[in-house]
Amino acid sequence: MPKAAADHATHDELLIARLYGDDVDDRERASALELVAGCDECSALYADLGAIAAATTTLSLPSRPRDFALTEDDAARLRPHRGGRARLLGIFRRRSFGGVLVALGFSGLALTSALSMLGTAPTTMSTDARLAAAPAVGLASSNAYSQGGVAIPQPAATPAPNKAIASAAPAASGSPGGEAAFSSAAPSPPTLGPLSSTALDLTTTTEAPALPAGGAGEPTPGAPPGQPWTALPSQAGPDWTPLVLAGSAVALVLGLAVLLVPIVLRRSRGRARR
Amino acid sequence: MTDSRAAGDRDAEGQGQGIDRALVEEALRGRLDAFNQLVARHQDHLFAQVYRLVPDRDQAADAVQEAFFSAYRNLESFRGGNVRSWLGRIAVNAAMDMQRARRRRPAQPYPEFEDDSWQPPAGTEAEPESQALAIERSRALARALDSLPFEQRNCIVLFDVDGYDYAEIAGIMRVSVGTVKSRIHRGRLALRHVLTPDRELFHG
Repeated sequence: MPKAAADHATHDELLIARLYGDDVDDRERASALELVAGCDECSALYADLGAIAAATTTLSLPSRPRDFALTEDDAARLRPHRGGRARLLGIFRRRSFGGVLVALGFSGLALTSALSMLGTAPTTMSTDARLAAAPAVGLASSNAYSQGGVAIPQPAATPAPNKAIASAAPAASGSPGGEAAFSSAAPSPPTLGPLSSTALDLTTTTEAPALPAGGAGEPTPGAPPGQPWTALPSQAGPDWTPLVLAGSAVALVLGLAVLLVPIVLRRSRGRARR
Repeated sequence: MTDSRAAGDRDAEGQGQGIDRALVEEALRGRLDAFNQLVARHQDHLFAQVYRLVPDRDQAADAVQEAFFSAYRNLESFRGGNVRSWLGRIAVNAAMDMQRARRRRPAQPYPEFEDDSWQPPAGTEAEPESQALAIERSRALARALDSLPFEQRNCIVLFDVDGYDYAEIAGIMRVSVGTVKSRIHRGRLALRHVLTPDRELFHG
């Protein structure tokens, strides 16, 4: 017995539409069929959906306004014979190439940032230590040589602001003369500049032979006797970080340009067309 | 009888696909006339398909032309299969681009249906009364379709008119099959709601 239309408000019309589209499971199908069988409105809805879908499939075929065949000019414009240069340019315009560039750029930036955070501080310290230790060791050794090669333990003359000086002093040979030399070196402020300049001044004037291994100011193995200590920092190699950073930034900018410029151009063209 | 007719249709379709693939191969060798034969074979169908999605004659024509340009430009990307479906997908994408533009600047929907010179295709409904009814039904349906959200309209046209299956529509519109089904069901309900005053046209 069909139910009153007032009950239809509580019925699920989407379920009827899904039944028409055969998009229901067994349980839903049973519920939907019950609705169609028991409710006039649901039954009418089911019939209307069928009639409308049938009418939609018979929508008239509109006549086309023109022939869409391509002309020779169209073909030449769309598929020009592409030389090597044009093909290369095509590769550079591809979105995948842009993506690769962006990825490279990000990787380079991330890598250099990570390396600088992890590795720069210890490297700088050791370089500073070498620089700072150089004058002390050089002085001490020259004094030792001037004393006839007798090594006299030398206490730290002053609380050295630089650890390198403090650690190098007991290790190296010293003398009262050396103490004087230390006292001239130790009061230097704990900044790199004066120490370095002291090192430069001293090492250029001191012809120190290679020291035995173990000291903080240990020269490079195989270094010729008399090698100036200023040669040490330069043996750390060139710093590639700025170069990598710059390259990564360029790759990132280029990649973003390859990715974004066509989108911007397309949008502006669309806007102009409208 | 029906089975033999269906088998004949399948044979004809298979032959047609073979011809299409041969034409694509010739076009790939640089023969423009081969590509233009493809255009001649499919332009009516593609225009009708696009026109149902973009109910503005000029925009639909532009979309179809753009679709053929795109197909010619990307012939190498054709990986075999049904040329008609491949062209259809390109055309639908072009139509969807047009539609998005049209949403921002609405045009007169289906001007042909307001034009007295428009006539439905001659068929079984050749009697004047039936013809008038068909015209009225088409007009009402076209207006109702145009009132739908364009995602729902696309799905209904592609499914009910152009005969794509759910998965194909999902691929074209880049949504899930479930979304396609939902859009079709809800679109049909919306059509029915809009066409309620004209119900007798569809049950006559």
